[in-house]
Amino acid sequence: MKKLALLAILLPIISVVSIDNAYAQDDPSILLRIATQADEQIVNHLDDVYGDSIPADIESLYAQGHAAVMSLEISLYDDVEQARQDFLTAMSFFKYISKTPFEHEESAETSDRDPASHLNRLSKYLENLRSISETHNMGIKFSEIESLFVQAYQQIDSNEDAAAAQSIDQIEYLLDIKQKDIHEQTSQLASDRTKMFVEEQLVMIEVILDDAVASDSEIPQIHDANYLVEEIKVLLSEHYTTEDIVTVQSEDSHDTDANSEYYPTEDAMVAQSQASYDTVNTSSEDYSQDHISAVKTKFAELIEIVKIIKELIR
Amino acid sequence: MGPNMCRYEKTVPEGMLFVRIVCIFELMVRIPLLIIGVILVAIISSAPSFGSPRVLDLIVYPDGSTHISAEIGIDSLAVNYELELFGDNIDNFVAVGENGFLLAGNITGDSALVETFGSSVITVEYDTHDLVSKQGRVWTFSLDAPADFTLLLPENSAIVGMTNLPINMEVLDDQTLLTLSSGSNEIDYLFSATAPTPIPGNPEPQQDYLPYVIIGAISAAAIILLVRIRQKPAKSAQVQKSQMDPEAIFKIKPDIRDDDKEIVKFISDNGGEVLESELRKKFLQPRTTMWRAVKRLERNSIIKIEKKDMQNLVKLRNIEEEEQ
Repeated sequence: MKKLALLAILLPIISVVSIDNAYAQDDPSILLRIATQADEQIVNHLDDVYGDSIPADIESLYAQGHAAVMSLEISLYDDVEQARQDFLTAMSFFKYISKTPFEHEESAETSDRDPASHLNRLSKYLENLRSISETHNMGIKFSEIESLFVQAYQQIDSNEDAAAAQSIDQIEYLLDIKQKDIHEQTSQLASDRTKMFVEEQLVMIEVILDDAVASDSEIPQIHDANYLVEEIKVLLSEHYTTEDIVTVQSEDSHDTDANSEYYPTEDAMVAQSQASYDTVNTSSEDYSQDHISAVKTKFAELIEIVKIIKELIR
Repeated sequence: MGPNMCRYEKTVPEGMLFVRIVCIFELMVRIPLLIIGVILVAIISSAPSFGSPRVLDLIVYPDGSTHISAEIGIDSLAVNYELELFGDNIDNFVAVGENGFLLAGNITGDSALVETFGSSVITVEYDTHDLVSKQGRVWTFSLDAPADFTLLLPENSAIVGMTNLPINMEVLDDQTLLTLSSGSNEIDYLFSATAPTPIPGNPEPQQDYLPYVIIGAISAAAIILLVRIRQKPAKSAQVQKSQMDPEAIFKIKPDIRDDDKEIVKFISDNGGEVLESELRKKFLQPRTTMWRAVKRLERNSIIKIEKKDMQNLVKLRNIEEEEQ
C-alpha cells in the first residue's frame, strides 16, 4: 500500500516529464496509413518512370520497403516500438526509391510557377492587414484590392497568365501602400501604448526602489535608478518641449569626444512640478519616434539596473 | 483515521529526543493541499519558456512556397525581440502584439527585429520559398523546427518519404495535415491523381493543458481512493483473493493443460491481467503459439481478451461468480 501511495504521488510527476513522448503517437495506426499510401504511390511512381523494366536494384529496394510495411501491419498492435522502426525503415526505402530516377538532376529551388498559390498567399496577407485595420478602427478601404483578386482568379481560370500576372503585380503594389498607411497610423497608437506601459511599470519600480532604500542597503545603483526614473518621467511628461532640452556632456563618459546626451533642464523640471500650462502645448500626438525611442532605451537601462538591485536586496 | 494508522517511534540517542514518524503519507500535509501541490507541479513544469513558439503552423502551397504562422511568448519588458526566420527570401511579413496591434519589424537576412515593447505574446506571419526544394517529380520539405508544429501539404500530394515519426495526421479536403515534433524534419511528397485516404473518426485536437489537468485529476482520485482502501484493508483483500485464486479455477476447470495452468498462474500473480506481449516475453514463445494458448483459455471461459492501447490485454474471469 505504501508503494501504491508513493506511486500515486510520483505518477503525475513522471507523467508530466514523459507526456511529450506519450503524445508523440496519438494513434499508431496513422503510421500504417501513411506507409500504405506511400507504398501505393511508389508502385505508381515506378510504373510511370520504368514501366515494365524496373531495374533489379530498385526492385530489391522496393521489396525491402514493402516488407517493412507488412511487418508494420503485424507489429502495430503488439509491439509499438517495432511498428515505429518498421515505419521509419519503409519510409527511408521509399524516399530513396522516389529520388533515384532523378539523382542526376540538380535539386532546384522552387519559383513562382503557380499564380494561384501566389494569390492565396497574398490573400492571407490581405486578411492580416484588414484585421489590423479593423482592430484600430482605421476605416481603410480594401474594395479595390478585393476586385483585383476576383479579376485575377478569373484570369487564372481562363488561362490568361499574362493578364493574371499583371493583376497580381497591381495587388502587390496596392497592398504595399495599405501596409505603409497602416504602419503610419499605428505608430502613434504604439507611442501611446508605450507611454501607458512605461508609466505603469514606473509605479512598480518606485516601490522596489523605496523598499531598497528602506532596507538600509548600501546599493549605489539606487541613485542611478532614481535618476533614470525622473528622466523617463520628464520624457513622458505632457509639458515637455524641445526648448527644455540642452546638450550636456555625460558625467560618466570616458571618451574625450563629445558624448552628448539629452537631459532636461532644471527649468523644465520646475515647469513640470508647477504644472505650468501657458507655454506648453504638447499633446500625445506630438511625440516623435525619436522621443519614444529615447524612452524605450532609458527604460531598458532602468530595468537592467532594477534587476541588479533586486538581486542585491535578496 | 484510527489510532493504529500512524505509529510513532521514539529513539533516544544521547542528549536528544528524536521522534520518527512512520506514517508520513497521512501526516505530510492535508490531502487537499497535497493534491493541489501535485497539480501545480504538473502545470508549472508545462509552462512554455520565452522565445519558443507556442503555436507553429505551416502551409505548403503547390508551387513549393510556405506560409508560416507562429505565436511566441516573449518578455514584455524587452524593447525588441529578434526572431529567427525560416529562410532568407521573406514576403508579406506581419507581426502583431496581443490585442492585434501591428508591431514594427525590420528584416535582415534570415532574422527579423520586432519592436515588441509591452507585448508578452506576438503573432508573426510570413511567406518563404526556402523550405521546399524539388528534384524531378519529388518535392522535399525540410525544417529544423524550434517547437512541435503542424504542416498542411498541398492538395493531391502523397507522402513518399519521412525522416521522423509524425505525432498525428488528418486529411482535410484532400489535403494532408501532419503534426510533427520539433527538430529536424524532412518530408518528401509528389503529386498524385488519387487523393489521400481520409482517416475516419479523427480525434479532436487536444488542448495543450488538458493532459496535465487529467493527470492531476486522476492522481487526486487515486490518492482519495487509496486513503479509503486503507480504511478497508481486510475485506478487499479477501474479495481479491477469491477472484484470482488459480487453484479455484483449476478445480472448476480440471481439463486445463499444464502449460495453460502456468499461464493462468502468471496472470493471477500479476493482479489478474497482463498484456499478451508480456506473456510471450515470460514464456519465450512465438507469437502464434502464445496466441493459440490464449484463445484456448478464452474458449474455456477462463480468460477474456480486451483491447488496451492497441494491444491485447488478457484478464482472468471471475469464474466463481459466473458459475454461481
